[in-house]
Amino acid sequence: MPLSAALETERRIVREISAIVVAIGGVAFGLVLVLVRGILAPIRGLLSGISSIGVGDYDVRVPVLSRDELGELAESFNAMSAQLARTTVSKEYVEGVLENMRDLLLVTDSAGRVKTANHAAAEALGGAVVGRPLAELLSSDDGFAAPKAARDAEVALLAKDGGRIPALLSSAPLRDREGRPQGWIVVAKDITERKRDEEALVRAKLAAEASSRELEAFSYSVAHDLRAPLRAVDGFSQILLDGYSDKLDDHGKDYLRRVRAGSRRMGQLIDDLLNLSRITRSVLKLEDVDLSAIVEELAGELKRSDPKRSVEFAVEPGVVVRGDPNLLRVALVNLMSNAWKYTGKKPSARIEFGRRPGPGTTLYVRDDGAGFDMAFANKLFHPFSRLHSASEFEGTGIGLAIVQRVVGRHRGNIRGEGVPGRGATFEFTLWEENA
Amino acid sequence: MTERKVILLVEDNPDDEKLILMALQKGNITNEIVVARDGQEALEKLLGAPGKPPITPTVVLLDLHLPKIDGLEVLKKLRGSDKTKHLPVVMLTSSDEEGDRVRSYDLGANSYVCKPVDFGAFAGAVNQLGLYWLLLNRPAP
Ligand SMILES: Nc1ncnc2c1ncn2[C@@H]1O[C@H](COP(=O)(O)OP(=O)(O)O)[C@@H](O)[C@H]1O
Ligand SMILES: [Mg+2]
Repeated sequence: MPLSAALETERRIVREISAIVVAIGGVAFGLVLVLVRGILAPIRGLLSGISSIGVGDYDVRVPVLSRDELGELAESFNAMSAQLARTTVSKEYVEGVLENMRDLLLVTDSAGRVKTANHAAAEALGGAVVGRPLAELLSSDDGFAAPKAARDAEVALLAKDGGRIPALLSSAPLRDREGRPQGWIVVAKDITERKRDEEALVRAKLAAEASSRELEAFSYSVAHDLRAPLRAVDGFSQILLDGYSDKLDDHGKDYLRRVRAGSRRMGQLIDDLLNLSRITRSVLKLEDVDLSAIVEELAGELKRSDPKRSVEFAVEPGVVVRGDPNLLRVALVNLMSNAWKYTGKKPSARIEFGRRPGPGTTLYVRDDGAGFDMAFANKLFHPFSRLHSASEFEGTGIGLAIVQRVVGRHRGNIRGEGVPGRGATFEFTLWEENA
Repeated sequence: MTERKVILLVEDNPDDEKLILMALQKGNITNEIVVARDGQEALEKLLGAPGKPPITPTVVLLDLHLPKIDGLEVLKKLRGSDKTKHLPVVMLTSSDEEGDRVRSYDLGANSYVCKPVDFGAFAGAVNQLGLYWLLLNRPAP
């Protein structure tokens, strides 16, 4: 073969090879493009989606770019993240809750150094909490020098302004998946307000006890010390009347009698006062009390006390209430003897006792006696205040005050209704819900 | 027979003392009445003191509130001594507080009488007391 022909063949071969190389290169380039578009991009999308989920963002979705295995992968990734978002509490959500809760939250490492503090903790303890040992932030009787599990332990948090905040502290260890201790989670509840209320309550209780002790001492000394001089007044005026009457004219004797009447009345008032204070002081003993039986008994006693009087008693049977039998009896004695007394000027009278129908316990004592003027009804229950003069009806004015206290101790209310010359009704409730 | 029996009255209030003496007199009780005016004097009379032999009254009328040693304390000491543990002691006092009554009986009082303000009632009470303890009651041997 001539050289020129051979050279020509060689050039052709080179050209063909070059063409092939270029073609191969083109194909290769195309292949790379396809690869990058079809495989790498979706994978990159998946990767960034996975890392979003890693930091707690479950709202991430990756684009579905193809209808092949990769496309399927992207679709199932999206389904998974949607599922995760539905079933998992997101990090933001948790952070939001922890940050905004009113209780203090601290997370420490296993040595007890604060790693995280929520807003409430930073606020109360001062901003620079992170890094400080828990033991520096609080003082307590049982010491939290080393963190330990606790439930509602009473501690004082050491506030940034130097103050101490009373708190209930609970803490529990944080462990990793293998159960190795990671640190502590500490929650503290500020109980300043509760403490303040408790202290106020204790103070009020002490004050109440002190005043009831004072009352006790007062009534005791009334009982003992005021009676003695009265006895002297009454006794010696009686002795004068008995042994020296020949030396006294009628005026003198009349004055002495007034002295005696005065001292006896004062004795009565002292006894009344004592009885009144006893009602308030005595301890309630609750039982089922048959009020009808008590009233029947009192009616019998009243009739026997003055058999000449014609008084009809109408007592509803079977009225049984929960209460203190002694106190309720005292109340009924006073109401019934009032009814008896204030019907005393009528030739015949009727006294009723009963229970009003309806919910709750409402009881009444009614008479058709002298009645009273409603204009003064607000004074009925004041100790020693009376609506009738001693010349009309005797009395000291303590009875209804006692009744009101008895009713009050049974969480009830009493009111009286009267019409002059027509009679009076006293109606009282027991155990009122909102009394 | 009642003549030789002695009553010990422990009373610091001179008015009450006088009234009690007059009430007894009015009731024709003519026994000797020894008066002690505070708790310490009462104990000296009943348990004896240096140079003073003890007396043995038929009944002691004992006020609750007394100077120096109060009535309850006196009662306690009396019950603690062999000589006076059976001695009839009547608390005679202005107080009708439940607490005082309970403490008195707890400490071994034989009786508790509240002095009424009304002299008639008071005289009646003192008389009945005198008669009961002087005539009716049979003391421990
Ligand atoms: N049943 C009644 N009828 C008329 N008035 C009454 C009746 N009960 C009480 N009162 C009036 O209420 C006043 C106070 O009563 P109370 O406290 O029992 O005292 P006292 O009966 O000693 O006067 C009486 O003085 C009387 O004027
Ligand atoms: Mg009355």
